[in-house]
Amino acid sequence: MSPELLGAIPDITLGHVVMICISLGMVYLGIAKGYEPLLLIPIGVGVLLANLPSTGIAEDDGMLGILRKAGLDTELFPLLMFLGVGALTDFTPMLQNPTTVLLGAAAQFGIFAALIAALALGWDLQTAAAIGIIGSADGPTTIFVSTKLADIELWGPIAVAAYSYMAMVPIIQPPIMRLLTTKRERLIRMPYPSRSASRKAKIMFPLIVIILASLIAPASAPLVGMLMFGNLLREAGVVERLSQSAQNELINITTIFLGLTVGSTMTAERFLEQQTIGIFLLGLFSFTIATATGVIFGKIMCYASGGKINPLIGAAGVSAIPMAARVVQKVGQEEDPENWLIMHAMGPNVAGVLGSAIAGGVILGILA
Amino acid sequence: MPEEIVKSIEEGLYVATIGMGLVFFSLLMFLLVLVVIRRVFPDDDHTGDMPTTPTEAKLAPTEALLEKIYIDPPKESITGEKVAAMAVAIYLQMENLEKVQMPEPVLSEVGHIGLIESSNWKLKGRNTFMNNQGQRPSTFRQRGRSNHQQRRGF
Repeated sequence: MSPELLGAIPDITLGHVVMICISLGMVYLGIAKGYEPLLLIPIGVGVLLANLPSTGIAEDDGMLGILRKAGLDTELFPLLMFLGVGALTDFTPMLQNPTTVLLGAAAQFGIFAALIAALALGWDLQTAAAIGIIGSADGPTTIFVSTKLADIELWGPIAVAAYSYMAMVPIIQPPIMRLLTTKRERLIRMPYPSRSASRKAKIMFPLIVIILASLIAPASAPLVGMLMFGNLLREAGVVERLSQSAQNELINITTIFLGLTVGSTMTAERFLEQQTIGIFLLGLFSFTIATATGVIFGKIMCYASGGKINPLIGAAGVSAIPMAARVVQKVGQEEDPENWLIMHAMGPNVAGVLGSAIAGGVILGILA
Repeated sequence: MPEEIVKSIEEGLYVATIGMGLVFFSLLMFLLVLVVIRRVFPDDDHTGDMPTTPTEAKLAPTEALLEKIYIDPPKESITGEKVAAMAVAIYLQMENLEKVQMPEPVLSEVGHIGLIESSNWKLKGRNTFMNNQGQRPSTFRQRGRSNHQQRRGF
């Protein structure tokens, strides 16, 4: 037997074994528990491949290394994913109830709170911002910003923290929502708008947003541009094939590549560091503050509107779409099973996607 | 706390203030844009499953015909005789074919279906229902959601 055939076995270290266990854990959580399987399975397999010794697959000239250089170092994959997200997102709830846009802005405070907390723990400003962006609850934005601001060893932990907490939104958000609202507030029923937004409005909106966002925060142009381009394909009604491609093939292929490449950055020597724990804790802090500020702003809007807005919908301002809106629905129905809040929550939810892209662009504009 | 960290926290507070200010300003601008757009392009009267425009949802022929009848009903009223004739025709058709074949809507032609105006499942369900007319109800295990062969028995 050729000695090269079993040559990798002596190279296995404890770190490799731990990382292989982590990768198998991710795959297990994705398949058995259904936690963000679309991302956790490719990331888990990426981690597995990168931590098998002597394969060289995650090296610069290896398959995953080439993919990483082509799509992650250039920020191409997150942007292509955002195009798909735009094609999948329906902004109608926001168009029907424009005031909910502000809830999407309020929930971005979690990003900046985590940034300050990371600075207090001794991180530098760039890295702190990359960690804080976990609170945007938006995978592509998180990866886009972190790959520009943070070192490569942090890309994996930041992306995994973001997707893990997005999967745990139904666990993280409800206690905060209950703590910050009274029963009376949770019982508020919101009337459904009797009219739907016109097709012309739906077409004009993405075009105007591209122009405005690029003028206010030029660094957000790639993110907002791709998001709104995807949405324009969807709303135009004459490029159905392109819209379907963006909603299905493009986003699926990009998800596979993005997951694999992000996973491939999580090698034992990079991931098994004390800072990884810090990133996960700060990510949780960021999510918590984002939810809390969303609900608090919802309460302010509730008082301002004379009790017409249920403050629970503020929690949907974090852009974990549509999970956050579903959580609002569930918490609302715990008090009143006949209260249907999901479509009201979709307004701040899609505004959150927009808000997180703007926040990412603003951070890049100031720090990059 | 070391002076270096205090200084970086000050920087962070500056970034947070500017950042949140710009995020709120941007979304406030979008709010104004939304209000203006809604003024300029008034909302549609109908909601729910109704498509916004005929081009937005290119439905299969039967659906399109039903829609045409719904939007633009025929001027002459349908008399009881016509209804009876239609019922007989449907019965004879069912007798011959055992089941009435309704055209499946081509999903790629259904067009954009939004989160709110989600009629995709309804269309699918309605057609499944129509295609099953005249058939005996199937047992639970035979009701597959996919075209895959269902396992029978153990």
